Amino acid sequence: MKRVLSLGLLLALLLSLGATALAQDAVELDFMCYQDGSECTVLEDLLGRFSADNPNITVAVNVVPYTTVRDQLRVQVEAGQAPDIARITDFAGMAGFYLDLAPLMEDPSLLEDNFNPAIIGAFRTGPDDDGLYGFADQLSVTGPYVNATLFEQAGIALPSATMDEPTWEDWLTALDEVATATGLQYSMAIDNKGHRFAGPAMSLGANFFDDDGNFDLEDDEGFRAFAVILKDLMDAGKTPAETWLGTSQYAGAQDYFLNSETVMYFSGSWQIGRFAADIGDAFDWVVAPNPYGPGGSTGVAGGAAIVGYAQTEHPEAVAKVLEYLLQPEVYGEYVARSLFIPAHQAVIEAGVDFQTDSAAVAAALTGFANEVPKFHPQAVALNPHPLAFAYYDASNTRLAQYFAGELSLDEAMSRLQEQLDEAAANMAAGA
Amino acid sequence: MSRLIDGGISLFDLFFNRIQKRSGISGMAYVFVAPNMLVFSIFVLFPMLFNFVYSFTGSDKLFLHQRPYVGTENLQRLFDCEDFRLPSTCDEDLFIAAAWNTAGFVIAQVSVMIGVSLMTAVVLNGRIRARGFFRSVFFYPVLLSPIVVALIWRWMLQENGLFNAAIVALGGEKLRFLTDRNWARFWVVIVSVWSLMGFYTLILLAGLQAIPADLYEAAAIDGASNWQSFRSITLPLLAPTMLVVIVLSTIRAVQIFDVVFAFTGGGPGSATLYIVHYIYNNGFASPFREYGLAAATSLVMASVLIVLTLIQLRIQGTGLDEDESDMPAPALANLGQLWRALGRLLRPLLLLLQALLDGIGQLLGGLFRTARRRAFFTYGYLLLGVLVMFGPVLWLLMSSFKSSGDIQRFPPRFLPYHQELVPVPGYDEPLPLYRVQQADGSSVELVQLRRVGLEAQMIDPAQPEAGIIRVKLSEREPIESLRFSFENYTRGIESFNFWRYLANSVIVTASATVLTLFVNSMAAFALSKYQFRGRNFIFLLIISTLMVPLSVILVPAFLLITELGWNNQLIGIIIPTIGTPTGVFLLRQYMLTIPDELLDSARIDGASEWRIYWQLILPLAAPALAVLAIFSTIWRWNDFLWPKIVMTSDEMFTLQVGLETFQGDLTIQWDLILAMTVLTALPITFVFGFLQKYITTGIATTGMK
Repeated sequence: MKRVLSLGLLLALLLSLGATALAQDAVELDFMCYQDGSECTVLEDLLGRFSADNPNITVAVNVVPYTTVRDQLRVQVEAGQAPDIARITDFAGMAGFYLDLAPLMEDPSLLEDNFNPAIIGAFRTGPDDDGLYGFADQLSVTGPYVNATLFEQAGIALPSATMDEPTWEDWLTALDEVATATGLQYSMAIDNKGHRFAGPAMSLGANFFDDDGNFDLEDDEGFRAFAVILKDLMDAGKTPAETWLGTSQYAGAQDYFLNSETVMYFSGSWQIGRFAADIGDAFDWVVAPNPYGPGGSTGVAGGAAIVGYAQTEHPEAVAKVLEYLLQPEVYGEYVARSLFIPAHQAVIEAGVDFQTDSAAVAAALTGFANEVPKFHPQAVALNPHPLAFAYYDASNTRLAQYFAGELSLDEAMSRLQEQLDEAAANMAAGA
Repeated sequence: MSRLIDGGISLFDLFFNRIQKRSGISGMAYVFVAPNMLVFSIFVLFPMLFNFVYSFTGSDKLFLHQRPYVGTENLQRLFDCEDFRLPSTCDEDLFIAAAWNTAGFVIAQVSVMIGVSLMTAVVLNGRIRARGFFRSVFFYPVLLSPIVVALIWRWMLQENGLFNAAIVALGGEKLRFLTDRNWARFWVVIVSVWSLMGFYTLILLAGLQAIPADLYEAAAIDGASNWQSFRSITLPLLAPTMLVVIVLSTIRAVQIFDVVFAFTGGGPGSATLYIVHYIYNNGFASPFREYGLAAATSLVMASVLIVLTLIQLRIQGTGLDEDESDMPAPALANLGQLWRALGRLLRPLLLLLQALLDGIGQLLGGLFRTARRRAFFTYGYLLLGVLVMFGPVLWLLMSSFKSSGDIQRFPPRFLPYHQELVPVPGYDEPLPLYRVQQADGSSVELVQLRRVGLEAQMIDPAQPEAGIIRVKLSEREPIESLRFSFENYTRGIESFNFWRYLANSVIVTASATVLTLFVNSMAAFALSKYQFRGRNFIFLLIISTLMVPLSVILVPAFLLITELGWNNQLIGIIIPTIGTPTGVFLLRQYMLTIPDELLDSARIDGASEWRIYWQLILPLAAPALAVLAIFSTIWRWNDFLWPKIVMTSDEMFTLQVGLETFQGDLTIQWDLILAMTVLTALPITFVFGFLQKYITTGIATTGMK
């Protein structure tokens, strides 16, 4: 009996190996997709429609965890194992590997004229490169969510309702009062990511970059100011320490907001879909403008992009798929259904009829859209920067060390700067 | 069917007999050892060499030919320090911090591990009822994958977890278990001991059972106290086993990674950042792409590990015949001298420790003088063991039946409760039921339509047409009932390609185990029963890589898989694992005990070498094969890092990799994670349930050293 079993298993093994060798005539494209909400599901649906019109091209949407896109995709691409298409967040990280769509698209201006030059430039290898490699399928904006019901319970008005330009100080005072009045431990929570951290820091005056566009953080007062604010909150137990200290990887703090454990939650526009679904009726929530500081009021731009890879065996088919997704009505439907802010100029101008019957969602989308014109230049430049992800990684580690009391702020800042300088040198050495 | 198998076997016969004709009996050794060495060389040795070269190159490029030679720059960077005691004065502060953390962890973990395992083994070795059950209880966590272990404990220790709830209930303040440096370090030690102690307990138990009972009887007649006989009989006779346990657990502790990676992520700050994690961060995960630095670190670590392994070799006496060795015997002799010198050096310290232990021992011995007290202590300890070892798993199981809201509830409740939902005519969905306090003190049951601000709009389910009643939030309370809801499971299975992942996991585990047994046993046969040139060299090679963790050779191994085109193919996670050094080692040690005369007489009877292997050695080595089969099943089922790297297509994920998808970029979906964790641990639990007798007896007979 044992023999029978093991032979059967061997057979099963052989069969599973053989199955992958089957070749197909029609073009099937491999699309590596990750999703925060329903993006890949909507894309799959749209691409199904595309295949109905183009029966020789099918797109297999392969949904993977975000960590796969973040940690493994680049190594895979470098090793020559790129998917045909991918949805990514580190735009500049794989420059040089993308498929140039310019010569393949019927109408390249569809891409070139509709996206911010900073985004289009992020995929390029340098100033001499004028290829068109991909497009942002959404624009994300960072900003604060506020639990309005808690404010109501405390009988305190939202600072943004009573003041033109409420500062961080105004907000923190009000949040503190609300938390005390409603018996909550936390007044504010923020995701542990250098990206989320950057918005408040910039509002507090952080410049982030020197004149040549290199990271220059060591003596950045605004950056330090927000670090101090967060540490004070953490030491006082007013912001959940577990978000920043419980893991070295990215951790969202949305659960605290979902469960009404914090009055404010600092995150970004990609949370809207989840909040709409999970908060439901439990409390009222609003998106407030970014708190003001010496640097004004700015969120940080971000988002995901859809790109093709030069390694693909079917460049025409890839370009065709991407061009399809760039059609204003297709792109418009995509953002309308996945509840994201468009980055596509024609779609922005036409306006998006978001598919939600929730007033809170519509208000939140408007709230974030209002933040877009207020972006500082460095708030747009951060995410497409070639070292953006190096900054996210290093700032996570160093800020956590500062918050945990392992390093002084000076030590943390100089370590952060040192790591970024090293990364820049390392990149230059490889170029 | 059996005819088909016989046919297959005859084919093997034919094949091997042909070779034997050409190569002669002694040549067959090379044939037997070849498959294992091929896999081993390609997937372990070659990446290690590759790594070695990497450590002398720079830049952020992946391929060697694109990387400039930088000499020892990477190594220098690692050790560029003003004061090694202070990581902040070092160039690579995180490396130095990780090195210190690892050293501290190893010392703490190994001492706690030895203490707890020894105590448990002694208790289990006593005359107790239901020994098999208790033995399994302590062993159970060994079956769980590092990811599952980390998730369970994270779940209990989080700020709003079970432990803090208990503390708050007792009137205390919440403790920062995961965000305070010292607490985090403490729990990492506890969790790793929890998850591995069963393994060492079984080894020690086997050692204890090998001690002849008449020694104790004689001691008792001479009037020796319990402590005296423990100290003078048990400890000395257990010493060899103890050393094995110490070295094995030390080597494993040095390599700690998966469980901490998922448990604390190295935090808070860098408090639980250990060396392999540092390598993984630099070499694979971080956007800095410091492959050179990662390779240099793994070089340093591999050196430490090889020294540790050689020490173990020395202690264990592997049966290496040193006179015929083609490895430098003097090196081993020197090592022995070193070991003895170390012993002399530590002697005063040990004597002091002994005196201290003696004191405590006498005291305890006094306490447990009567059989009644002893029994009380024994069963108290065992019950505590059940609570500690099974409690977390039970908590996981209970929580997996809770609704998403109930999971996050603080303080948590043990049993799953769900809010009552009532269907109301005129409404599509059933509505949640509340008990509402009325002004006169009585209460009514109403369902909620929606909440607006601080008020809820409710209706009476009995007479919905009566219209909306406005109720203050503070005056209503949800009505709940105890219900085991399988919703998390069904939703998890739906959103989680469960059957596909399960199929992949089963195929990988089963085929890798079958192949491992086959390939390893052939190699072990050759290494234990033949004299051939290079035998000791091959054996030492296998031994010295025994403990090099995969995470250290991740990048070159991945490049190799890519060159072979094995990405996203099950074969890519099956084949590289089948040449396990541990398996070869284990089987060889066991086969050494099979008398050579048996082989000789078989040869005289005209049996071919293949026949001897297949019909003589394999059946005789069955207990060792069973142990290896079980461990291989556990290993492959729980593999995480390698499958995660090789598989990037959802269709190809194994269960462990799939589990990670719930720990997405934005959220941890505890409701689904808990349910899927239970499902992932279930099959291996069943396997264990059926085979636990073989595991324990097998480890006892093989020594599983």
